[in-house]
Amino acid sequence: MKHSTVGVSIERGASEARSDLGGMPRAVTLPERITFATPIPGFEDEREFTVSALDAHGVLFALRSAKTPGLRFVVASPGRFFPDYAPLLDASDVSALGVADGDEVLLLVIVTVTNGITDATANLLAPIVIAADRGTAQQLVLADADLPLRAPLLQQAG
Amino acid sequence: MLILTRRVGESIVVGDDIVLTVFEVRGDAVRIGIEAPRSVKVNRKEIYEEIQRSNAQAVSSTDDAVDALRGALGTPVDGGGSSAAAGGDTDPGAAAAPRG
Repeated sequence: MKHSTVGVSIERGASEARSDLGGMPRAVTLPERITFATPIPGFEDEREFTVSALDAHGVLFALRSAKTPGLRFVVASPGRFFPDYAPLLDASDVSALGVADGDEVLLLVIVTVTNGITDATANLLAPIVIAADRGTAQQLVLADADLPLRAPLLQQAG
Repeated sequence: MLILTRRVGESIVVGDDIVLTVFEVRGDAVRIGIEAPRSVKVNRKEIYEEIQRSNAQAVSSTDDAVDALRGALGTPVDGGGSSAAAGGDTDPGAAAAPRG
């Protein structure tokens, strides 16, 4: 069509890390800081976040507000939990990130885990898209409104 | 709130580059076409509000629950953070060590 798609590389990267856990963690490479090019719904004043890995396998990451201590999103590489989750992103959907045609972007899903791990869910409807080279990010609401906002995380695993 | 009456096929222009067109009216449902720059986010309001709520819940994830999740994934805490996958330059102050 008239819009080209942006390759989403995180899926493959996560798969490689998963299939070779004992080896070299050649996993997702994220920038240390990201700037949200468009506001996160509900967090309009929070644009700057630091990124830190929560494990050595490129699965879980923490996005911590550079402005508000204690404000943290836990995000996950979806491939580990939702191997079939591979939404097609339109280049113009992520134009706010400043990506050029053919640039790779990373896709992460926001995880909510408040009580116990069995109730952990991931937001597949509105993932975080990150242009690693540029350090920009946005929460993208996917056009496919059938995607769940709270997909159980661990039922899908394994 | 500005309220306008439009017929099927008629449009409303918002600003310089947003056009809303009424395509079809059937019962209490109205089909509306929206032309806007791709940088303008257009969402059904209830979905946007759901995402707001979901985000607010997400930041209330507790450290204990997050640590339990990491354990369940077989991804033990790497206290040094030196082999973290995120570029290997993880901010030590914000690294993998559990807080609290």
